[in-house]
Amino acid sequence: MEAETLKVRIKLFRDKKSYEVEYIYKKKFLDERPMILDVLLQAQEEKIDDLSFRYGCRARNCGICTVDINGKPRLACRARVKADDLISPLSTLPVIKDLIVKRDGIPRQMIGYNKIPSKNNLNVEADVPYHNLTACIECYACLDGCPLHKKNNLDIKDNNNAYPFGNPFSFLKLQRLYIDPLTPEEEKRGIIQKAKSLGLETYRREYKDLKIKCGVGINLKDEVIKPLLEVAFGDQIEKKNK
Amino acid sequence: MYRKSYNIIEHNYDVVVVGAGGAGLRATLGLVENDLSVACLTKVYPTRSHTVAAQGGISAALGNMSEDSWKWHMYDTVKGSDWLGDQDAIEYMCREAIPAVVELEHYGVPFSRTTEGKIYQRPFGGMTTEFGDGPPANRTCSAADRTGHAILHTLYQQSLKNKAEFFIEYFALDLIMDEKDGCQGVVAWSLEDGNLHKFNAKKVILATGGYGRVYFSATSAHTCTGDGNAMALRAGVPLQDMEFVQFHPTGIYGAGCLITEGTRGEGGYLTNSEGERFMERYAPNAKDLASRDVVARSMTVEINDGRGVGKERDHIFLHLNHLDPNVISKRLPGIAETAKIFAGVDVNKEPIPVIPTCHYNMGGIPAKFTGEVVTNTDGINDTVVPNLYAIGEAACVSVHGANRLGSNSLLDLVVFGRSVAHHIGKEMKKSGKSILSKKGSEEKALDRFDSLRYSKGDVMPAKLRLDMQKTMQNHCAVFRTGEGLEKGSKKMDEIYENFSNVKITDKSLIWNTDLLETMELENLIQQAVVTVKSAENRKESRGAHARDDFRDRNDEDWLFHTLAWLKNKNIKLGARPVTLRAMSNEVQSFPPKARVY
Repeated sequence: MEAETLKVRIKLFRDKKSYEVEYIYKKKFLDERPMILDVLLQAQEEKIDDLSFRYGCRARNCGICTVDINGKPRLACRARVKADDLISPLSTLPVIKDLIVKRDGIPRQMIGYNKIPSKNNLNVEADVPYHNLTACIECYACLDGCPLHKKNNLDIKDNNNAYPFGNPFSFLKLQRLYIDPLTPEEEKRGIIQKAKSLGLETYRREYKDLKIKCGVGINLKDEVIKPLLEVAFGDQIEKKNK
Repeated sequence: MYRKSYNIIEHNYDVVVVGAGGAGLRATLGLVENDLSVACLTKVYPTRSHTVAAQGGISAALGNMSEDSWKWHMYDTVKGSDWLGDQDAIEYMCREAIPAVVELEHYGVPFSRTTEGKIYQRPFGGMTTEFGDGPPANRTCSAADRTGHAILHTLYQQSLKNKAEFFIEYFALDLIMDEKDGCQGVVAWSLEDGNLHKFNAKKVILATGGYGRVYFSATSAHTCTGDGNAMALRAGVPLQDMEFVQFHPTGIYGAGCLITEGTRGEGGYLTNSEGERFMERYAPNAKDLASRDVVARSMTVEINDGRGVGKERDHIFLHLNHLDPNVISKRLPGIAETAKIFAGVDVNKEPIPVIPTCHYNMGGIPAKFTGEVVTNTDGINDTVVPNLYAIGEAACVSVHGANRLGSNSLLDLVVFGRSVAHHIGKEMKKSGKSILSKKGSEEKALDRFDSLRYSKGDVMPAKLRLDMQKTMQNHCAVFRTGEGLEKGSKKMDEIYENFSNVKITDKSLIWNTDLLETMELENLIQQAVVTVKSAENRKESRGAHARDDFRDRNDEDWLFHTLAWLKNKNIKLGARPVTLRAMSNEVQSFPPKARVY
C-alpha cells in the first residue's frame, strides 16, 4: 500500500537567515501524486501560514513558480513530489524572502532590445525554429549551470540595473529576434553585437561541456546557442568540437 | 486604534493603468504612443498575467480561410450574449476587430499561418456565417495554442520599447476618489520593498481582470481575484451583471486546467458513459461547437442523469484521439502536454476527462465602449464617473451579455484597450489639466490596509476562502435554484461578517503573502456577495445564468442589466437598460428571438 503522507523539507529565508522546516503532506486520496505546488499550498494552509512563494496559472503557462527541488530548478506546478524532497528558492538568483527571489535583473537585460519591427506585410510565415522559441515561458530554469550567469554578482543594489552577463533566456530572446523574418538586416548586426556584449564568447569556449536545461523542453543548445555562435563567430564552433 | 504611520512615496502621471494583462498592456502601449506619461501597476510580472493562459485565439472576421463579415460576427455575439449584450458596443467590437488584429500582427504577434502566408483561422463555438444560417465560420486567429502568451509577450516588448513605466509586483489597494472630480489616483503597496505608494493621475484605467477564484474549481490563475472590481465597489461604483459567470465545458477533471475550445474547433468531440456524442441531441446543428453555456449545461445534465464517465460517473470524455497527430502537434502542442501532465493522458490514444469549470466573468464595472465608467446617479442612467476607466474582463461594456463566445475575450481586451487609449489621447489634448493631489486623500486606503495588517481576529483566511469557494460552487454554479441561491446568499453574508475576525500572522511589509492573500480574499468575498445576490434576484434563465425554478428567458420582465452597489456590507440592486440598437446605420439591430444552436 502506498503511503498516505509525504515528508518534504522546505528551506525558508527570514531576517537574513535561512533554515529548514519539515512538512508532512497529507494526501487528498490514496493514489494522489501531488505536485510541489500542492505541497506548498497545503503547508501554507496547515502549518506555515506566512510561507511566501510565487505562483500563478497552476498549469505551466506563466512560469512564475520555479523553485529548486533537490538543488535543480523545476516548475512547482508541474513537478511531482517525492518523499524527502528539499524545496528551496532558486539558487541562481538572490533571495528576498522564503522561496521568493529577485528576478528583474534578468528581464532588464533585454530593455532596448525589444526591437520588434512595426511593419509586417501580412504575408510572412516564420520558420518552425522561430515558433519553437515562442514557447519560452521565462521560468529561468535555464540559469542553472550557465557558466556566464555564474559570473554575475547577484546582489545588484540598484533596482534599475540588469546583470551584465547573459544567460540562455536572454540569448533565446535575441535569437528569436534574429530569425524573425521581419527583422531587417541592419538590426541583425546589432542583435549579434548585443549577444557578444552579454558574453556569448564564453559559450563558444565551453560549448561542449555546456549543461543547460529548459523548463519547458526547448532545445537550448541546438536552437539558441549554436545558431548564435555560428553567426557571431563563423563556423569555428563546429570545427572546434570535431 | 492609533494607526501606524507610513512613509508614502508619491508619483505623478498623466495616466495610471492598473493591471498588465492583454487589456492593460494594449492600453499602456496606445497611451505612450500618444506621448502621455503612463505608469502601469501590476501585482504580477506582465508576461505572467492570466492572459498568458488564453489558448484558442482571437476572433476577427478577416475572411482568410472562407468568406466572412463583421456583421455575421456581430450577430453571433448578440445571440451568444442571449440578447443581454449592448448592440452598439458589440458592433464596435466586431467592426474594430479587423484593424485591431491587423495592428497586433504589425506589432509582431507570431500568428500561425496558412500556406499562403495569411493568418490561420479556426472555427470556434457559436461562430457562424450568414447570420446563423450558414456553416461554422473560420474566424478565430491563433498562434498555435498559446495565442494569449504570444499577444502578451509582444505587447509587453512593444510597451517597453515605447518607454512605458512599469511598477511590477505592486498591489493596488484602493482608488483615490473625490466627490466632484472623480478618480484622482491609486494607492498601492510594493511587495518587494514593502513601501506604500500614492500614484496621482489625471486618469485611472482599471484592467484588473476577472475574479474566478471565488469558485472552488476554476481555470483562472490564483491571481484572478478581481481587485479592480472590488476597488470600484468600495469607491461607490456599482458592478454590472455579476450573476453571469461562464463555466468552460472542458476543464481537466480534478486539476481544473483549461483545455481550449480550439480542440473542438479542430474536430474534437464529447462523449458520455454510453460512448454517445450527446451534443447532437442538445444542439443538432452546432453540436460540440454550440455556445459554452449550452455545452456546459448539456454535460451537467448528462452527469446528473447518470451518464457521466469514471468511477464516480461525475465527468465527461473529450476525444482528440481520432485527429491526425500532425494537427495536434502543429495546432495544439500545449494541449497534448497539459493533458499528459495533469490528466496522465496521451491525447493521440485516449480521451481527456473533463468537467465544466469556472472560467470567465461576463459581469464587471459598467463602462462605455470608450472605457469610461458609468453609474446611475439619482435615477439617471449612464452618468460618467469622471477620470475612471475600465477595460477587459474587469469591465462590463457589455459585449458578452449573459454569455461570452470563445475567442471574443482576447478580442475584447485588444479592442477596448485600444479604444480607451484613443479616447484618452484625444481628451488629454483638449484639456491638459494639471494633476490634482489632495493632501491626505490616501488616508482611507491606509486605514483599511492598517486595520487588516493588525487584525486581532482568530479566523484563518484559508478557512474563509475555502468556505466561500465551496458556497459559490455548491449554490451558484452551472445550474441554480431559488432555494440554493437563498442558502448561498445567507452563507456568503456570514462569511463576509466573519471576515472582520480574520487572523493575520505576518505583520511585516516585504513580500507578506499572508497579508496580500487576505486583502485579495476581502476583494473576492465582496464580489462573491454581489454575484450571489444578483443571481438570487434574477428570476429567469438567460445565458450562463440557468435556474431550475425559472427555466425560460423572460424578456418582458428581465431584459435589463443588473447593477449592484455595496454599502456598509449590504447590497443595493438596480437596473440599467440593454441597448438593442446598433451603433451605425450599416447594420440592422437584432431583436430578441429564441436562441437555438
